[in-house]
Amino acid sequence: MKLYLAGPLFTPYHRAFIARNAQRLRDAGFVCLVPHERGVTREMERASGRVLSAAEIFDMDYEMVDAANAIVALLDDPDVSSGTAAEIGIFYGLMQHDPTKKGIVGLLTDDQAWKRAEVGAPPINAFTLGCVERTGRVYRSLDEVITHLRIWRKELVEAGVLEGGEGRR
Amino acid sequence: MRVFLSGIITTPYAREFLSKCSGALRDKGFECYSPGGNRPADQAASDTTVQRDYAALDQADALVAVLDGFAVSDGVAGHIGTFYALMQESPAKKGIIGILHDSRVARWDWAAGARAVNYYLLGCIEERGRVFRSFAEALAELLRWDGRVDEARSVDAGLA
Repeated sequence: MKLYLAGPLFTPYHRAFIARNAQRLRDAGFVCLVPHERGVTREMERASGRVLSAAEIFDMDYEMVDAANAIVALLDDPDVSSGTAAEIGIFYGLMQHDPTKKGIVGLLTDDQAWKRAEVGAPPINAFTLGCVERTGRVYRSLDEVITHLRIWRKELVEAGVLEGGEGRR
Repeated sequence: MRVFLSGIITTPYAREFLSKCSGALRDKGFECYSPGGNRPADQAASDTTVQRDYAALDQADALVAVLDGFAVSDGVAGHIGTFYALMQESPAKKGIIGILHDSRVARWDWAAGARAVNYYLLGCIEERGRVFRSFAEALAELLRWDGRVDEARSVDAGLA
């Protein structure tokens, strides 16, 4: 089962957190498509003097979103990263006509967002939250995310979309 | 030398980054106050937060501010403004050092540097300080401010 790991990747600690999550998801048998992993390779191209255009970055990420069976979206920070929100919207649109796409699970560790939820305000932008909640759920820990993803993987295997072995790779 | 370390404290990995920075500062003999590292999670009321952080800013010789985010965190911006005002009354305060990793602002190779940071905040920092691309560079500057030039050179050499 292929997962696209969406999230802000603009600081070393964001990238380290996403990398740790990717490792745990791979240990649980999922295939992880991680933008900044591919980005490192592309950065080496850029080091030779060619800067990637916005359209090339879009193409690179869209290809991965399109290939995924589900999105795991890191929703932290004062506002959900605009790139992450766009990817959530794209995936929501794609999955309306593609039964191999199971949905979107959000990972929200941001204390400030949960504080908003405690007082009855949306923890994140309501449209983005709606895209996630129509297709999946927001969790506070990766353990909960993995539990959810295992159910989806089982459903994809039972539906014949994934081979039993492929579902665990 | 007393250092106030300000940064995003609402996510576990941002707190972990600040905690590592605090540890490195203490290893170098600096006294370090960091809101995320010093405040129990269940004592986050607004009145105690401002009292505690203001007292620490008042006592600090330098402010190190992590400027990450598309826009600088509102809490960090508040600390910068407060410390800038305290600097006007206290010439002994060394100044403000910024750390900027965010590639949306600085670009991946830091080619844009801090030029896209809010000018009011940048002005507060640059009156007696500057913005660096990593904690290690900021640490070297703190060591220079503390008169420990050889140690600063050693940190700089590690970066080369």
